[in-house]
Amino acid sequence: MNKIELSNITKLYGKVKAVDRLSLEIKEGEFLTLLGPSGCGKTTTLRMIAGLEEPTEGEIMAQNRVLISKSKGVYVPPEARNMGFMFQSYALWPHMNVVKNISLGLESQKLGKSEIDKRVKKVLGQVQMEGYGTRYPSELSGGQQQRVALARMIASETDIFLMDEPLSNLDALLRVDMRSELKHLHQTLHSTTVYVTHDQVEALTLSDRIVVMNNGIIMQLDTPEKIYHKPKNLFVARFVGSPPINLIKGTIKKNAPHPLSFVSADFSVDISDVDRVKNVKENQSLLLGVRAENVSIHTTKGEKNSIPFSVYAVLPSGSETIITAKRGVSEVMIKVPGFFSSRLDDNVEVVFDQKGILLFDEDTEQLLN
Amino acid sequence: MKPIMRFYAAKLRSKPELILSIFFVIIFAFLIIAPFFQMIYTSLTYQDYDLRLQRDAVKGAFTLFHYVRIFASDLTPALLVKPLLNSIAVGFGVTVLAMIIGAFFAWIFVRTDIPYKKFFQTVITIPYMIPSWVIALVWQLFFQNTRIGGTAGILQSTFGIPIPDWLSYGYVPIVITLGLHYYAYTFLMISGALRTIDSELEEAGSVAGLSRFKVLTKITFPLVLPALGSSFVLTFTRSMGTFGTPALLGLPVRFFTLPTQIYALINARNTGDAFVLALVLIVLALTAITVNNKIIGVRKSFVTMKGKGFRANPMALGKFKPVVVTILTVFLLLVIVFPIIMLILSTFIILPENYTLSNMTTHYWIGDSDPMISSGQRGVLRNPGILQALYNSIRLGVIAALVNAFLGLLIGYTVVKNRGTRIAKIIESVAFAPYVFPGIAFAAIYLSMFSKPIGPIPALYGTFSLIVLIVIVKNLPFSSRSGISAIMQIDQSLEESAITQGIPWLRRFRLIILPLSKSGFVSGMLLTFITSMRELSLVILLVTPKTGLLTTMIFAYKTQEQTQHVNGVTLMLLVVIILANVLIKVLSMKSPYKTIDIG
Repeated sequence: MNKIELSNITKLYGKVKAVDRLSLEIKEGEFLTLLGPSGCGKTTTLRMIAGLEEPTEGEIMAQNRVLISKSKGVYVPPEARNMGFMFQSYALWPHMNVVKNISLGLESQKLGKSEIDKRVKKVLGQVQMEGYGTRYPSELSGGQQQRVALARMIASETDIFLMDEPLSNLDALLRVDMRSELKHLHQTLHSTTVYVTHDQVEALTLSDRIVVMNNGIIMQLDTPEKIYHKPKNLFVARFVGSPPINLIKGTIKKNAPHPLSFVSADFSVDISDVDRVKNVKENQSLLLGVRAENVSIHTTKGEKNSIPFSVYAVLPSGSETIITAKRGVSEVMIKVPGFFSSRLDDNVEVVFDQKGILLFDEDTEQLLN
Repeated sequence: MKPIMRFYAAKLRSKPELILSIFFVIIFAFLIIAPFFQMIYTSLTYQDYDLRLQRDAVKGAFTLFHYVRIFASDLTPALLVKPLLNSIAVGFGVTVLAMIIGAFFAWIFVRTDIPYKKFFQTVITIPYMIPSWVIALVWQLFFQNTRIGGTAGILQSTFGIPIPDWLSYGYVPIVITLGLHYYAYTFLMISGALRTIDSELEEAGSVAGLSRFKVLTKITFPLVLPALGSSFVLTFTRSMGTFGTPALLGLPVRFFTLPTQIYALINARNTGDAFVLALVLIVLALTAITVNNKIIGVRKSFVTMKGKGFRANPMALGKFKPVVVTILTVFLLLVIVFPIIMLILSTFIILPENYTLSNMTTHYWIGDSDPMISSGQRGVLRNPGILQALYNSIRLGVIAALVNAFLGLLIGYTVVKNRGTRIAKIIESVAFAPYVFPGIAFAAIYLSMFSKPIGPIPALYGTFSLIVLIVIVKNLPFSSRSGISAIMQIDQSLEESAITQGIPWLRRFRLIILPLSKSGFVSGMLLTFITSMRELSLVILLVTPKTGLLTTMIFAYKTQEQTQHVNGVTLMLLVVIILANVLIKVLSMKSPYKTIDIG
């Protein structure tokens, strides 16, 4: 019932295309994230679903009815769309206390006073804000304001939630806390949720599916796992993942020295066992992509297919350490668990895990394997 | 109905900002654009007045007659050149005087450790609240001579000092009295600009080894230069277009500026010529605004003008402190305290030269009609005409304040919500247009436009409604500006979150937008109240004995040389304005308003 469908949505601001012929189906009860750099059209898309912006062309459907369509002559105003919306700034009304902030929208739904009181009490409990009802927003911390905004959204008992970077104003610790809060809430309420963020970790941790957008176009729509491990193109590969994916320029050659080798300026990598490598032609200009955790580092020689590198920098962060190593002009980042002690210019052996190797066409930027 | 029509119909119904913009376009076309074209049309056709001068003239026929008369005839020097030059000379003199005083005070208050800052600053901006021509009245109390007739001022009658004509009437007194009013404007503008300069820039100069004087001339001055330029242009246009003071101090000696010349022509029913001069004044004002926008454009490029907090280290005045405090005190005594005391005193004195107790009376305040005194006028507080005018003035002020503040907010809402569209730009600039209309010419147009019924609107000729209407329209530039900035300060998401919760527009406006823009709303109301209370040129043509206002009453008594009544009514006006200020201060302090840092 709570499916949302966008078909062929275009949004122009003057001559600038914010969103370009975008089609998207959001399944009932799904947690879908719109992910992308600023200006990619993700917030515009979300605001069009809510009705706060109007698409220049295209059709939006939700809850089994058309919301906006010029060709069908339908325009449902945002007031009548019955969707919850959470703003980056929380948008709490500064001149009203917490209870009033939550109940104002309910009063417009023509609910009785006792029903309103009951709901306010219930949602304040759900976000663990009992006892704060008479406070004004200025008397609450950022995280508490966030919880009130969340309570206000769920109070209307709508089954579609739209969230526009709700966690970006919180400090790092609170953000982790609120993430689990949001995920828990979604799993209890089963509401269809569209979530906008530019933070890839947030997208990966929260979503059922992720839409990666750039310049108003969908670059990839997939599960977090696929987005991370099988990025369809260079844009997604680069945007998702921390540290950023290693990319090395080169071509493939047979029997030199491995049965099938990726040859770059400074070294060659065995790719004989890489998935679906048959799709790649010889002499095609390529970029080899491999995530830092799919590269291993050894201080002793004799590892199979190892390539000598020298240590450039070591960045420990407690649970893991990222090592940057160099060979000629090539540079790779390697992620190892725990600490790794090493000095500048130490010689190390680096091994690329074939299961993690991605091959991109340099011109089309598409994934080949 | 076609689907696309159905789509737009549904959209229009649910978008109040669209409905409002259509509403404003229609009423602005009627109340602002139409009068302007009426003015141009009148200036291009023969009027009743012209029929006597031109035998073959047909009323209403197209003609360049008025333009020829104003720009290329024997009358050009008298009708155009002299008033224009006088206006420019007055504007220039007033602006220079106001800038010197205003800039000096601005620097003292923003950049030095002057004591009693708050007190001095409040007192120093008092001229901003009172009508500019009140100082002219006080001037006459002192410097009037008997050449034109009437009673002599105190200096001549009491001390026997002969006052030369140039000090009594005309250019010099006009410039001095207006300068002592407009310094409050330049002070506010320049101190605002000074406040935005980070004093670290000046400290950096000091650290680099510059002397205090060098810091002032090499760093501070160049930084405020654009602000100085902008306040110069604005003060120049305002003082050039002012009516009251040149009318009081100039008309008796036939010293005409453009606004008083327009007034004289309209009084002579020569509307065609008057409107050509009005158009000249409009072109001058538009030029000044264009120049000002250019200057502000330059100012924006200064990286130092940031809205963020910064440290302002006041400069120690040291041994100059007593000197500066003395200068300030003397200035305030001479310009504000002493004049008001003299105004009060003059209302108790029967014969001008005598200040003994035996010559004093309360007759001018509470006396009954006595044919021997003031042509039988009753005392100010018992005079039905004056009390009616007091009631009318307050009624006008209150209605205009409410309507303007509300309209301003709606205009602000419409402009901000439609931002980026052409219609928003049109509404914003048309709402500002009445700023450049000379009050008297604008009133003359309204008088003829509303002399007969238009559609459902009855003839408003001679009614109080017409006065209210024109005052509201003339105040639109300020109320729309303050409305726009009030709405801009409200984060868009605060209304949007109400939209997504299904709260209908009226409720949103009443419960969210109105409370959040309250402080702007209240200060806009106060500003409109004050400007409406002191309005003179706009209403002088429109009042009837029944709809008289305090200002027009003062003017009428002035022409009858009834000094005590003039000053009595003036004091009454001042008291009302001051009370309104106090009332607003008290009311806005009680507000339980809470703010949060958004975003």
